[in-house]
Amino acid sequence: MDASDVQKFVERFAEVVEVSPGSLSVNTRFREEVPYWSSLLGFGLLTMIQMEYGVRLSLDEFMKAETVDDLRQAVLHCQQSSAQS
Amino acid sequence: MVQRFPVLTGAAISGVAACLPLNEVDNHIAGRQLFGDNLEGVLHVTGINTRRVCRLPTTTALDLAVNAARRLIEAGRFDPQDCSGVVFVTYTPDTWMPNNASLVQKVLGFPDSTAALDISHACAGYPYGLWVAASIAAAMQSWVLLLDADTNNRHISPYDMSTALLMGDAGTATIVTPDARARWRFSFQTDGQGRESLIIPAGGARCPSTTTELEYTGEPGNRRRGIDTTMDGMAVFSYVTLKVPGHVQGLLAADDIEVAELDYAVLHQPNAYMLRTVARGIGIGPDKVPTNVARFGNLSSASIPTTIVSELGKDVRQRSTKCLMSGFGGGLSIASVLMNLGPIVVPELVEYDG
Repeated sequence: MDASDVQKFVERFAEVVEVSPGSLSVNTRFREEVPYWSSLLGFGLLTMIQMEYGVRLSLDEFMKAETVDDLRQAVLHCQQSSAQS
Repeated sequence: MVQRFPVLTGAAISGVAACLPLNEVDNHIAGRQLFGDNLEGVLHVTGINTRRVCRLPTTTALDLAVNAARRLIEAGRFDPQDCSGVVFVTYTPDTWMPNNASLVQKVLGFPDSTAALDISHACAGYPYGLWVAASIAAAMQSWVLLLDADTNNRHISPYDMSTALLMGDAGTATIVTPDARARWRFSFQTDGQGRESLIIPAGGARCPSTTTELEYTGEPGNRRRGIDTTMDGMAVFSYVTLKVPGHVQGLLAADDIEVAELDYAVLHQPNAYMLRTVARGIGIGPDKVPTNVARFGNLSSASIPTTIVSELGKDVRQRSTKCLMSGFGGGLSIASVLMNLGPIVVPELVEYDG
């Protein structure tokens, strides 16, 4: 599944961090704004990305993402570079 | 990948009991120093508010399990002289040699014809114990005592953020009796490649326990001894949440059962968030997934039988339920069984002041 579908990515993100999709936007800075953020939710996101988008983000790439859309872009980037190689 | 679904017939669970240390640790207090301002966020996600931890350094898994067994034998009026086997699932035995099960034969006064063996397994251990106990009961045509217990906190560093607030200690006893109508279906999965993701590296034969292994080393927040559990949280999380749902769905399909037909999925409970994630992956509602992790913590392989006692006792004393049990974790491994559970003997939870 291609990560260019923004809406779908936000929905999946919301499901993993257990908030309503309406409470998230592409600009949400999830580490500060998601209630009760913890690394366990980070594991949840990385696993969801592996399952739904077929790529494994490195911890570095994950840590660089500040907003929901940063993370989606990182997934897209990873998908594109693995498609080329 | 081939998934096998062995069927075992001829034995059923007749009773389950559990014994927890009386001593309760409040994570909201115990974690203040290690987690500071992040504590409430962490506890909200893991969902583990309190844990039962042995008060004395000399209390063992065997002590807890034997107390559960005594209560169960008494409540169900099982004759100790008819016991044909003892199976003890633990990674925290009293001694490396001899095994725990042989000591239980003496302590509980079982006949010298008793078959006695330990199974070394962590979170996936209970279905393995059932598999072996049922095989013995069916072959011997007499009841078998399955003990599943661990003093998990004996191998946890209070200075390691990835494990410090997770584990509880617990001992359980299950009695398996011959039953011509019973039919269980199992499935097992092993990924030894991932063994380093959840491991007690020192204290075994490969890395003997020396004075160095008893010292705390590492960066702040990540300090532990060689004899402590070390966990790669991401590796374990992804293994469990990616593999368990498909494994369980395969098992259900092999018996031509829909998820909706299950009364309960009694799953191992590493923490509340992982439990919810696995349940969502399986496609089963939270009302069918009993849990005590908020009160007791992660009990390793004892989590399934303890949950049967603390959450399902009322129901399974009365009626037969379609039950899936699945344990997963260290190995890395998954072990699951599908059965009809109940009506069975379930004494109230036993507490042990030690």
